[in-house]
Amino acid sequence: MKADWSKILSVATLIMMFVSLYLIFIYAPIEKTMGVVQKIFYVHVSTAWTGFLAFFVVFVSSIIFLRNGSRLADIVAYASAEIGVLFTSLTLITGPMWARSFWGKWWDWSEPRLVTALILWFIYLGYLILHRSAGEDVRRARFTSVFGIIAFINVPIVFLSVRWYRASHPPLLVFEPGGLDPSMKVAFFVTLFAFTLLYLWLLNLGTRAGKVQDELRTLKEGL
Amino acid sequence: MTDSGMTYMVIAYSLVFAVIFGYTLSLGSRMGKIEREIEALKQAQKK
Amino acid sequence: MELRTKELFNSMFLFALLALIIFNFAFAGSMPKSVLAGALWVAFLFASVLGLNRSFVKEQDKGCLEGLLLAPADRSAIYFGKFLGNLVFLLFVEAVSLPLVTVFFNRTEIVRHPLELAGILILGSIAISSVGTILSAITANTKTRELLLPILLFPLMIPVIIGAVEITAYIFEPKGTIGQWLRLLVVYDIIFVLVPYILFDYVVEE
Repeated sequence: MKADWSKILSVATLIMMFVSLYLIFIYAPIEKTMGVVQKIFYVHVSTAWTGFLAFFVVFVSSIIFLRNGSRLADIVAYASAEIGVLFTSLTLITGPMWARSFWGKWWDWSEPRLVTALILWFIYLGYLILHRSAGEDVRRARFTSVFGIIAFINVPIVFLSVRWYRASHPPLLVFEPGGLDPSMKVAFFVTLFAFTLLYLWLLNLGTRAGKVQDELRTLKEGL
Repeated sequence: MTDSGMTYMVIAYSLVFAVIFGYTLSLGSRMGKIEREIEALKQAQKK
Repeated sequence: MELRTKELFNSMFLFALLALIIFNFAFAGSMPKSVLAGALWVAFLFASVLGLNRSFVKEQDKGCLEGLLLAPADRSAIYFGKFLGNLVFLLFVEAVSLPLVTVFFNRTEIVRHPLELAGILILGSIAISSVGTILSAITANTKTRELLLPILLFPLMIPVIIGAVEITAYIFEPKGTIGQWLRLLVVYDIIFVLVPYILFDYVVEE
């Protein structure tokens, strides 16, 4: 039964990614003022959303782990953190490309979403480093879970503080996705959905990898 | 502006999909290696 | 134990002072009031790491912690003890550094509103000490120990630094509004004293 869901997910992800690419490049019109480069927006926001989703899952898994010691929760947390850092890295790479084309500047410290992404990147990279540094310690899972919880609680606070910081350092231009052409909106939401499926698919993959790693460790300890 | 914009866009999309693809491959190969090691250990245990 | 505390205090204090002296030269002798606020908080944050690192490492080596853990109900009380210890220590370092900074750099704005300044120092230091204490408990058990604490702590401190610097700069030179920053810091302090208190048990249990 589990295998069926896995396969359905793989197929659905693949299909949706192609659909979203079609919508982005063929269905959605080219933006009047900015030209083709505006299309970075679809993938930039999607990677940001995926990163955020991934970190939320780290938060939830960490709580679950602390509550009932579930090995699966711990494995999922790490897999999700890895995916989260990956996608946030992509956000931080596509972001300046977008910013450069749109505002003429590579980086703007008053852009709350981008700056929050940067801080999140550091926080969850720290999570991965903590995971590695605590190594084989039996308490390692508890350490990363506690950090995973503290880290996520910080997320809204970080976002708010950077946003308020903007009040004293006003940015050049603000881009709000609300003012989009309806066909662009369709492409946008479908892409978000496609990336969500992609996240789930990668999470599944990463979880399987973690389980298999666990199995190996148990086998080795048995010797 | 349109020209360099096009370049950025191509780079952005290529990078995103290349990285996703690369990560998937890396996870897959990691898993394969471990599974082979497990098999080898299991074989050794049988003997 | 007491001798080591004195050494630790001296190190933190000197470190903070040196950092500020370097800042002075880095800014070629002219530090506008807003920059002074920033420099102070950076110096205090960095100095705090010295103190935080030691709060668990010492006991790790001496096995003190195992003795203390015999009473399970008190585990979270240990957090409070450590947290308050770190807090008081940090505040003390700040309190001693500031008069010296005022004198050396002729920055009278520092002493003009001592009560308000004390207030923001306490608010900010609570945040640093509360999160720092639980992170220190975690990192003390890792291979990279002292290196890992700042890596984990600093990103989480960014909102605190933003807020503390805004408020401190305001104290030195009233401009703009700081109401929301005060609320942010108070909320931050409440959350991050309570959450580590709840989670500390998981960090320390065997």
